[in-house]
Amino acid sequence: MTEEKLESRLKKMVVRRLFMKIDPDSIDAGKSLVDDYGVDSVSLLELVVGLEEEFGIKVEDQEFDVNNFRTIEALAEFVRSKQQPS
Amino acid sequence: MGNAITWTESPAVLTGGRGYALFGMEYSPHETPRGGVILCPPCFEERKSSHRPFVETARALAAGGWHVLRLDLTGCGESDGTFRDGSIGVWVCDMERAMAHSRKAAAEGPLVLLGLRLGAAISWLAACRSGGVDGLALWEPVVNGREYLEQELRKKLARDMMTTGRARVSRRDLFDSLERGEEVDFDGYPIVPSLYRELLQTDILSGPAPATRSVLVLEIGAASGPSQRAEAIQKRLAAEGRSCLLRNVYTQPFWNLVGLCDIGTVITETTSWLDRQWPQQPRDIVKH
Repeated sequence: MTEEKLESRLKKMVVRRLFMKIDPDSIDAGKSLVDDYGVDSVSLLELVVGLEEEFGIKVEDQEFDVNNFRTIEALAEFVRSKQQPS
Repeated sequence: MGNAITWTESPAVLTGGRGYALFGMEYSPHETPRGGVILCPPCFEERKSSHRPFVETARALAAGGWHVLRLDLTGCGESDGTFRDGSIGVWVCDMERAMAHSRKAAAEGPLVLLGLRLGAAISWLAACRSGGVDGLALWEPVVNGREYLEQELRKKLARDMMTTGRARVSRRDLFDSLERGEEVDFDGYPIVPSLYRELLQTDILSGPAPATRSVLVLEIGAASGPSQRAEAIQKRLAAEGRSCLLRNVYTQPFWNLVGLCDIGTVITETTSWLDRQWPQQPRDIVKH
């Protein structure tokens, strides 16, 4: 999957899972999900569950690091790193 | 012409499973009720977040002719005791006391238990132990206590991440502490070793199924179809020839929110199910 397609899927997942009333395409992939889109600890957990259910990855406890969830770009990088065969 | 009914809200004080006073609010229609519904809340911060939705639900049910008892479990809300006094066993016993109370108020009508999250599991266990429950409405039910603890402890990790940048402990660390008999603070509520052990033993599908006429499993969130947990409940009930309706509503998980949330579809799904199971007799509308 291209980076663009992955980011697009992530945006749709974020909007649907967090009940945001915005167009997924309007999300700036480089902007802070917390500061610019109002993501809090509860919605971060929804994102974690969303990543696991929709992207088939498992988020380990030590990966609960804000750097992995800061932006759509960071999320995409995290998903890609988890999907790469070890 | 229509179907709304006037009702009265009044406090009710019962004696709970540990002998402490249990606080509840009763919603009593001004005519013979269709039956009784007991609302069983979740635990921890989920109870606070679901307070307003439970009030709205109680009022909607009362307007539909049901006698409603909205209960605070031992050590929670307005009921006596501290959270350390609560346990799954005590809370199931609280529900049994509430059921005895509501049966009298419900006259000849059916008795329905409506529980959210851990409150749904407690309702299921109470219905299994006591019998005489005609319907169960399970909102986003907890099925397995260990999975529930895992989810709750993950919330703690997410909060850590938001405040310090990363989770400072792992779930393994927290489970190890509980195994050593230590308390783990969760949102300011102590998970004491006895509650931990009870939760580990809680799996509503491993025991008997309640002998209810009908069960509604309502899953609330972003999912468009039933979860494996919901399907397992349905399968468990079907094995004993009982009906179980699975429904999904696209509504925010209000038990996790601080602010207000519109739960109209949640209430409508529930009242529609009740109306199909126990149809309401036509009557005049009078606004409360």
